[in-house]
Amino acid sequence: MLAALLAPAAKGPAIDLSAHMSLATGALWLGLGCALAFFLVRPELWRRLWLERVDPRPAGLLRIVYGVVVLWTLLDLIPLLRFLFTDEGLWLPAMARKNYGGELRRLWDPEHGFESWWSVVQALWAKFSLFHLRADPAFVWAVFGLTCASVTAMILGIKTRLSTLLSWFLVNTFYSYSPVFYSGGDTVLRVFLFLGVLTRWGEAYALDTWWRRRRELLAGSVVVPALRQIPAWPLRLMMLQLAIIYCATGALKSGLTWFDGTALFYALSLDHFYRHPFQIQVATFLHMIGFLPLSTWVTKAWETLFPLALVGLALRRCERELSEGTWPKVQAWRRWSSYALIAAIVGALAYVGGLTAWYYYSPGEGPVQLSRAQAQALVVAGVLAFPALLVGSYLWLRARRPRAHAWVLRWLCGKRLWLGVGVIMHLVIDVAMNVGTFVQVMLAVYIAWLSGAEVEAVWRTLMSRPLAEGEGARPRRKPGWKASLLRPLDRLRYRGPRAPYVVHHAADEASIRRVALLRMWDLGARLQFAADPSVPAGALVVTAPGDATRHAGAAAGRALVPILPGFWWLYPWCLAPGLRTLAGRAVLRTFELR
Amino acid sequence: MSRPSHDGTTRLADALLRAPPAEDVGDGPWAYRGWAALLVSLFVLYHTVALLQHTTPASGLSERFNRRLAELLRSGAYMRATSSVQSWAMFAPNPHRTNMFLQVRVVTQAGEEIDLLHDIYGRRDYPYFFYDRMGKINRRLLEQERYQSPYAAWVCREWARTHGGEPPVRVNFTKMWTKVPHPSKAIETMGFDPFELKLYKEDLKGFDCATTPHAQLPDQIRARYGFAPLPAGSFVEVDTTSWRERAAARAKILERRRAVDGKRKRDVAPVEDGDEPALPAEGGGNEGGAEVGGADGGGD
Repeated sequence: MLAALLAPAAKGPAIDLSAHMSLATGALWLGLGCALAFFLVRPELWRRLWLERVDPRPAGLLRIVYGVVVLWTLLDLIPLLRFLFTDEGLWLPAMARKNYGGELRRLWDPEHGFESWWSVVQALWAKFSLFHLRADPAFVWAVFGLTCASVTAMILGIKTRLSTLLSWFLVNTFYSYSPVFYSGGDTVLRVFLFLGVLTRWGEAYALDTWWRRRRELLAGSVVVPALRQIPAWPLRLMMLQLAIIYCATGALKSGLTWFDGTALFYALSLDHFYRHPFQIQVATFLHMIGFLPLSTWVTKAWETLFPLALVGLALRRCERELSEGTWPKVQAWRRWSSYALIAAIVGALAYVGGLTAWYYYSPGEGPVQLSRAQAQALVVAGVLAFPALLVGSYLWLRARRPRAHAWVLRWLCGKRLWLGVGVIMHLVIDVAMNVGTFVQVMLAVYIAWLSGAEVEAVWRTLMSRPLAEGEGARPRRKPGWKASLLRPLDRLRYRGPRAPYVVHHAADEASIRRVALLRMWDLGARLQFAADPSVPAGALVVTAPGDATRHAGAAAGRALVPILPGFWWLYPWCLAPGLRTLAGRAVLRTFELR
Repeated sequence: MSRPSHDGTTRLADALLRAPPAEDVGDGPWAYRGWAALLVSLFVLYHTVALLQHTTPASGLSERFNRRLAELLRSGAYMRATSSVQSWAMFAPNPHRTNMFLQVRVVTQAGEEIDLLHDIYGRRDYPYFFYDRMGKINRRLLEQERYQSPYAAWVCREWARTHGGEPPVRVNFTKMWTKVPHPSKAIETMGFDPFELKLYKEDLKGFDCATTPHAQLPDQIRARYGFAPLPAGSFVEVDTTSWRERAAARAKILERRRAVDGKRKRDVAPVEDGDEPALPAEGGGNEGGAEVGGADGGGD
């Protein structure tokens, strides 16, 4: 990443770098070596970074949301399926194979197949698409159907590892055929699907997990079986990947329009993107009042600096564990060696940065007259001083200004700033521009950044109610414009639990075990349980808050739909007179209840 | 129900219906130990370094380092194999400042030139809700000219498919574009009508359906639609070389060598008659041939 920043962005006349190329290369190797040595000296940090286990719920939620976006993107391809992938479309397979088949064009012959079994492995290792072998419409539609089925199985969490692997292979059969239709969203989708293959994201919100836990509970478990924690590293790789996407795209935005603040005006005025030509007037007005130029600069800065979100996460974790006393204590020599290695990395970068300035700086270009040597010295000093200043300021704040330090940790280093700006930016893009499913896939992968507690908080917030003014901690505000402005925020911020739904059940062990299954679906903790001798064994009766009606049978199942998110997809059925009973029975059937 | 069993079910109800769900304590905080930890660490390290190498531009003073790292890690192959090839130059280095469209026209056998309306200029319905990939592809044909020939070939084939198998004569392309005015200009008029902007046009190279590779509807597809096969030799194939063709080419070379060596052998026969090892080069060649023997055999 830093190498990207050091590389000259603009294409100019070729400059002979040979005099320092070897030294610069050596310095960069040294930097890489020091980075590796850092983790050899501090293996406990490596372990914390990659090898710990984490709550499976964010990964489970990611699988569903991301999977829905994958399916959406696939379904979006239906009108173009014949054109893009069949032999009646843009490419006859021989041409597609020649242009995009990679090694396959040598390894496979249309008449005689593969040269040997090893050729199949080689073909799979290279870019591979089934359509390079066969692309008649019937085959393409069959593969498309299989792909949709596989992605659906992945979303539902059925044989999740296998269905994810199959989804990755089949989805890439479409993407590897030819890149002519790619958009940014497709690239994000491809890249994260591979990371999904590495993730054990079927350990929560998945039918696999439900079946396992149900089996354990009905077989005699005396606790509600736990969700199994999953390795953190694939999720961390996803976070790194997102940081790379933003940082790279921010750093590559090196053209004049990103500096003079006109880039967003142009982007919003392009025929290929705007939702309605009327927007151009709005964009012009927003540019006139300075909003778009400011947004342009904020976008570039936010994207380029996004990796700071990773630094922030690490810092917050470190501070939390230090205060809890769980941060690993290491010998002084290891600590100081690691600091020295970091200093060496910065030094190597400073050296290469200085040389870059020496070669690429043109005296007279900058606002202040500097010679090349002065520019070189300035860059070296800057690269050395900036991290030192940053670390020094942080330590000073920590020691002397605890409140400011807490603010920095909470906001500047917090997910709410970096992901919050991203959410706003992407939502604005989606309202103003049609860029396919790019926005949806980018927002979906944000879920990898959440913790289990945060996902649980989302469910509880969804299932809670806003406190009334003056109730609990919610302040009573004086009527006026300020109160009107703050009301929506207060409603979001101050929330309390809703009254529970009560599940009445028989007191025998089998009935208890069956109604206990409901807890695995009760993500907002809305259920309470009461033994009731009047309820027959294996049945349940539900009473909703504020309603004395005792719902039994299909009506009970139907009553549970709004509070069990796993059944929200049945909600439209509950509104249809002919289907509501069926929906209610489907809920009860899931728990083998009557 | 006896008292103890009643107590039992009460305890069970408390545990299952009211106690917090169990937590996975598992094997402590770590996902792996020992060799598994080492293997996962190596993979994570490899993926991370390969990803960073792949996404950083190889230019300037980092060029050699970047190239050598890529060679060492074979990161290009890894990225292709995992479908992780990526480039993030979105609206970079600048967003486009022109709207570009490619007008696509066919010249029929009757000499008529017809606009196929493949460009979106003035034809899109607003609000623009459903993503139109064809609009993107149309623009990409201009950004990356290598797509123009296959696209023209498809137009020829598609025309033939939908016109009883009869292909058009030619496909003509015209580049059209409008320039988005600078914001300072747009502010003067408080915006602009994109369809009132001056439309520039430039004719591009056209493609003949008879000579452009793959611009002829192949017999296999013609048969699907009940069209008569193409005249012999009129389908223009692309140049592909599979293992089979390479093997055949190698076999031909070997055959030629053998013929040459055989002639040489006959010439020197009075001196070296019966001296088998006298042809090391040829022997090597034969071994080479034996290596692809299966292929040779298959080709017979």
